[in-house]
Amino acid sequence: MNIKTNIFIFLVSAGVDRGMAQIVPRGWKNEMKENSGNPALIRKYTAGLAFDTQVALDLDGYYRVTARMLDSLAGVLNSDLERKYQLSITEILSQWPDTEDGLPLWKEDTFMDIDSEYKIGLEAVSTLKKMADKMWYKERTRNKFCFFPVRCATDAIEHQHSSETEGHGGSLKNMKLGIQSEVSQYALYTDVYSDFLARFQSDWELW
Amino acid sequence: MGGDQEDDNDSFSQSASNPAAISRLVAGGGNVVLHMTYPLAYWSRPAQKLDFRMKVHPRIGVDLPTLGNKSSSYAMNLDLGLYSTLTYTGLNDNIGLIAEIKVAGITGNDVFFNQLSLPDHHMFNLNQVSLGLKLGKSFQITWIRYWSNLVKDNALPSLLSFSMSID
Repeated sequence: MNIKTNIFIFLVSAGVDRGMAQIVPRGWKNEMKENSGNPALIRKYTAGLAFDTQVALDLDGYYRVTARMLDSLAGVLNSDLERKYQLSITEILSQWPDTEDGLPLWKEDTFMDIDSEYKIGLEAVSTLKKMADKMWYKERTRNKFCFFPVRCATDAIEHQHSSETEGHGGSLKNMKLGIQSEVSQYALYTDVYSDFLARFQSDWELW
Repeated sequence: MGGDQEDDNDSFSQSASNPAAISRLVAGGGNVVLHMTYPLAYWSRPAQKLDFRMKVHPRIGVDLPTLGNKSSSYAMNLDLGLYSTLTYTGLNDNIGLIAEIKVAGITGNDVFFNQLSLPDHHMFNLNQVSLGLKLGKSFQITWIRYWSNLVKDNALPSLLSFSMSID
């Protein structure tokens, strides 16, 4: 996680005449990409944890232990990926036919499958780290008073989603229609939060 | 020195005399508005359905000239707001109570102050207290009371707001 994400996490909304607005946590690319990576791979590494099959009880230390295990599993998965990647490359190179003058026959797509698998694995590592960040956020905030609860993009999402009064992000989940009355006059206004940028522009990043 | 302070207060309390501009400021502050939020403090008791948040919520509002308007002047204001919100989500998450206090200092460019008919172009405060009743996930009725040194006797009308969220 880069330092600028750690220092300033803003939930930003911009509106044009209060008709349209976005809520975008800084550093958050989009919600779909939040849990990317091979689900089967993630489940294989988290099979020993109960958090995804049982409702978490509000026990002291539960979030802390789970967060540490997830951080550890992310490290283990990362190491496994590196080792497997290097072995696969070595295996291909050792079996690769040479030309008559001794040069290997390289092709553009020689390592494409390995690279693709490695990339998906790294996304799974990233997902495990985000799952750990969520647990750390809960450990830091549940049943406690804390200053500066939001320290990274994952915290910002958790903070926003846990609010009953604020928008929850996502496509068309924040539409609001309102009527205000004053003592002597009435005003009709719309307050429509559409949040579509975060949803549909997969590679768009605010900062 | 005390006399000087009184003069300052008196000159400021001669105050805004443009209700439409005040209403516009209360409603958002312009046709292009940028909010930023940074949570300062958080406390929650999920078992008791209680949730408290304090956040700094600066807002920049700009009244851009409409297309075809020959005038290039625009009003701009900066709202430095601090919100404290206490939420009780109630029984079975169906009925909730919300209490919120906002303390804010507001300043802007000359056009903004002129629209408010303010003689002194100084930062002023515009605070509010809100009490809301949330029905289910979708409906909320909120009573909002503003007070400010913007107008005489801090007298700004109360608002009753009804909002509906579409999930």
